[in-house]
Amino acid sequence: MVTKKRTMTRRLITFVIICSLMWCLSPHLAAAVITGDKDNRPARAITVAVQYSGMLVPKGDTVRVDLVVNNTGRADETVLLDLPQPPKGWNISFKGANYAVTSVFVPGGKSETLALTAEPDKDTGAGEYTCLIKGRTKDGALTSDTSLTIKVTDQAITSRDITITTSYPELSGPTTTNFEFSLEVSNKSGQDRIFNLSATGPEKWEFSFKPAYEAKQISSLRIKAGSSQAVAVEVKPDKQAKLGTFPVNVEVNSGQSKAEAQVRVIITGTYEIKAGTPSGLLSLSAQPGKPSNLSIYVKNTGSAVQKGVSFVSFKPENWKVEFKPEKIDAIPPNDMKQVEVNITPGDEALVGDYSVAVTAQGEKASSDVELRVTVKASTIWGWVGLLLILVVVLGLALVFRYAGRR
Amino acid sequence: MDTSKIVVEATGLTKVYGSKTAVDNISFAVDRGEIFGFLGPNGAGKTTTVLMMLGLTEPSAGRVEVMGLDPRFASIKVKQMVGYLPENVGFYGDLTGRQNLLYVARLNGLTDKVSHDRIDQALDAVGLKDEGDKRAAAYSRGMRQRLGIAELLIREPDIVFLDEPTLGLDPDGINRMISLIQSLSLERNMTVLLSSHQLHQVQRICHRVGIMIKGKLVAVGTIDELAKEKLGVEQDTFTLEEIYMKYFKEA
Amino acid sequence: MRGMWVIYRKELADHFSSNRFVILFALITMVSLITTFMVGTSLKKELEGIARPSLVFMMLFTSTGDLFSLAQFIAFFGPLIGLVLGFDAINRERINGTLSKLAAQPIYRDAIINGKFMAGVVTIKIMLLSIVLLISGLGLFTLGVTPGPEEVGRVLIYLVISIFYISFWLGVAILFSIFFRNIATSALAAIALWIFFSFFVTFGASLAANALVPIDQNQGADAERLFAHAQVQKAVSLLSPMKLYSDATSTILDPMRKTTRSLILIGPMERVSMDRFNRPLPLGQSILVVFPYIVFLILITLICFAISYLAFMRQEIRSG
Ligand SMILES: Nc1ncnc2c1ncn2[C@@H]1O[C@H](COP(=O)(O)OP(=O)(O)OP(=O)(O)O)[C@@H](O)[C@H]1O
Ligand SMILES: [Mg+2]
Repeated sequence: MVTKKRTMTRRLITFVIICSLMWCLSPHLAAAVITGDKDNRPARAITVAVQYSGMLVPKGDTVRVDLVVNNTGRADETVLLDLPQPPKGWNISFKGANYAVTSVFVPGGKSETLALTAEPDKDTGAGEYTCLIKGRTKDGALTSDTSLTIKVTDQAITSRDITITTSYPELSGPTTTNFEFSLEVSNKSGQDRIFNLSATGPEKWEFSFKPAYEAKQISSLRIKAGSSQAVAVEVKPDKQAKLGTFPVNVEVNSGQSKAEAQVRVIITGTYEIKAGTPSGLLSLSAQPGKPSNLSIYVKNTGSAVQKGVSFVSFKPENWKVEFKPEKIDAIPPNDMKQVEVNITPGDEALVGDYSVAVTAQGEKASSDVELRVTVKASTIWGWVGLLLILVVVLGLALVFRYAGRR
Repeated sequence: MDTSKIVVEATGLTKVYGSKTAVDNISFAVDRGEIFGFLGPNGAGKTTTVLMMLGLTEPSAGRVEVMGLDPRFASIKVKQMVGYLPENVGFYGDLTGRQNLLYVARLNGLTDKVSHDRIDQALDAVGLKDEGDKRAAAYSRGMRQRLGIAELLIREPDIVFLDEPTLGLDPDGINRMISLIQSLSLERNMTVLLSSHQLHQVQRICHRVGIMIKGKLVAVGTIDELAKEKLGVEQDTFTLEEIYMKYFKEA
Repeated sequence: MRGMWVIYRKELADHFSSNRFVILFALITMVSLITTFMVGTSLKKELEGIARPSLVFMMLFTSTGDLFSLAQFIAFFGPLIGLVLGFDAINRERINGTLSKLAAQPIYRDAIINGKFMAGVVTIKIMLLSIVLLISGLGLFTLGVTPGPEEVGRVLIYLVISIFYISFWLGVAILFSIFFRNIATSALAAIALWIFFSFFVTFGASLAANALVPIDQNQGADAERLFAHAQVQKAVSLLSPMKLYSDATSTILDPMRKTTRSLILIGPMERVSMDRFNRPLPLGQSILVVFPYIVFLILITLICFAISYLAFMRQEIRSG
């Protein structure tokens, strides 16, 4: 836009300079040039006209239409534009090169196109509005009138103007999933439009719109006339949602026109399990090379059956961690299964605390428990040692007894 | 206590050190109140015999009884009745004579009060009254020997074994020691067994003597008996030395 | 019993009035004080700004400061206390001519050796206890840390182990004093044994390890081999009571030490697993870890004493 404006200005300036040079420095040449052309146009003449003098618009729509100022004479003209009787309820302005303008310079034999914008007030109702546009030269010698009739209709534009299509109207998953439907919104009306997006569905569910392949959330989007754009609707179900099919209505509207589409979310249940110990205590003690037992439970906290729960552990090398049963075929929702964990520290394990993590791994969910295994020294050697000392002390006592009495 | 006359009796007493027989099958008896002298050359086995009588050395064969008790099995009782003055008796040099005596008194279970009295008396008796508070390291040999006797006086045993009590003493010291030993027997009714080389002094005080040569007890009896047997004549003037040399040559 | 008691009291009095004891005690006290003071001041610097330093109290004994830690000092020179207290226990009596006199008193013969051993042990106890109390006091003074019950327990056990350790050397010295009639010989033999155990066993251990599990210096060795090497070295060096003692005490004094081994094989997962909760060991566990060492120390002490006892009981009493 900026470049365009600049080129236009530059062109204008160049033109003016050339003209002035011709006019001032070599009038003969200029006269010769001008006269040399066999021109039978009048010396001065202008016309002002709107492209579509009658328009049918829905209520609330802004009207944009081209205003053409034509200089059919040989002389250059500066045309002032005027609105002698502006229609009620409308804001009318002219724009040239993106600026609101009140006059336009038109060289002889050329024409300029301005944009006329008629913005209705909020309460501008249906009806016929006529707008008279008056153009006159700076000296007021020439005038030209034109009028624009805007017919505001009450009814919305037919739904054929907007369409929503979706290729996958049905998605299924547990409540923990974010369902993402992709929609194609087409603007079939003749104008660029801003479309508001909204979705309704079950209570406590969350909906958001995103442009395709982008992360930001939007609530409206602009679509050029005749084109279409992909929009994604993300549906976050309530975590407590029951199993079943839930319709979600997606609505796209722009002024009076709107289009609806229905997508369906099929909640297949949540997949969530939780592993823990019945007492809440996550520590146990063990001896090097000796198995130690702990029961853990695996609870299905989701709403769907969790299948094929197996167990894996993070443990030091040389340690053994065994599960009984090794695998649980299925845990119904809200059910709890007990698993015996057998932890055997390595023979060379040092005394002190070790961390052993146990993961219950279902098909759709998993849960970790970290256990603190305190390896304790075997007291057997302590007893053996004490016994040894006792034996030696006894031996000493015997020595005292038999060798000492002399 | 034991009413019998015999207080020490050895029968077939033998001690073998490796291949050496230090004491060879000796038998003798000592009566109550006697002063019995063991005579013999160096290495004859006198000390060994005394140690066996005390239970400080195990006999290889034979037995010895002190007041009817075997020192091997009733060593405490025997040691309570027997006082022993070893040859070259030693004392703790850091302690005074008095402290040395006190230590022995305590080992004998005497209360300190009793022992203080007895120590004073004993030091008086052996003539060390003024030296009692000197460190024992500063004692002369004669003083040590007398301190040893004082120790015996404190313990008041029934029998005393004196191993070479006169060894290394000057003539005056020998005389004092001899009279001390005599007083043990006469004033305190102790039975005295002593070993000595000082034949002349032994002759003066001993009631009976035993002559040991190379582990064998070659003769036991009063000096008169031995003189009769060996010299074969009723001599008025004989010395133990003569008898002893005779036995010594025979062996 | 009475005899033993009397002998014990005399020996104790002898120890405390003897010059060598006074010199030894002064020396050890001085070294302890200097060590503690140095450790205390360096610790104080390190601890500045730390709100509630735990385990600091134990560092008084284990921190090496500029030269050596107190525990190391005792491990090294503690045996000298035992040796000095016992190397002439029996042979001096024999040379003095007091032994046969003593044995002739109405006491059991073992009262002599029991009384002497007991007096030595009690002297050691008093010595160590006063050193430890002194150090604790100094620690309280310079650092202002108060030991908790756990630390007090650790120090007490350290004390017990130290007493047994030094008593072992006392037993060795008494044994030598029985075997060698010459005082100088027994002193020399005892010192030779001390030097052997303190210096040469360590040396011999690395020799044995190099011979059995040689490690090429240039190309290095895998973990297993290094481990085997270390194990051989450790096994041989444990023949030395000093090693036994210093391993036991360093584990007792340092709650963060979880093994008496110097080299351990730890896999990466084990490392992670261990580092997760890096708590100090409770006292009971520390004790159990070093219990075999403690038992062994106690056993060699008892056995050494038993040998001395039997040797003394079977020996001729006669002087000269
Ligand atoms: N422990 C021993 N081992 C081997 N032989 C020994 C032992 N003790 C003593 N003997 C030997 O036994 C013999 C007797 O020794 P003992 O001391 O009884 O003699 P003694 O009569 O007291 O001599 P002395 O007059 O020199 O004191 C000596 O030949 C001595 O060499
Ligand atoms: Mg002799």
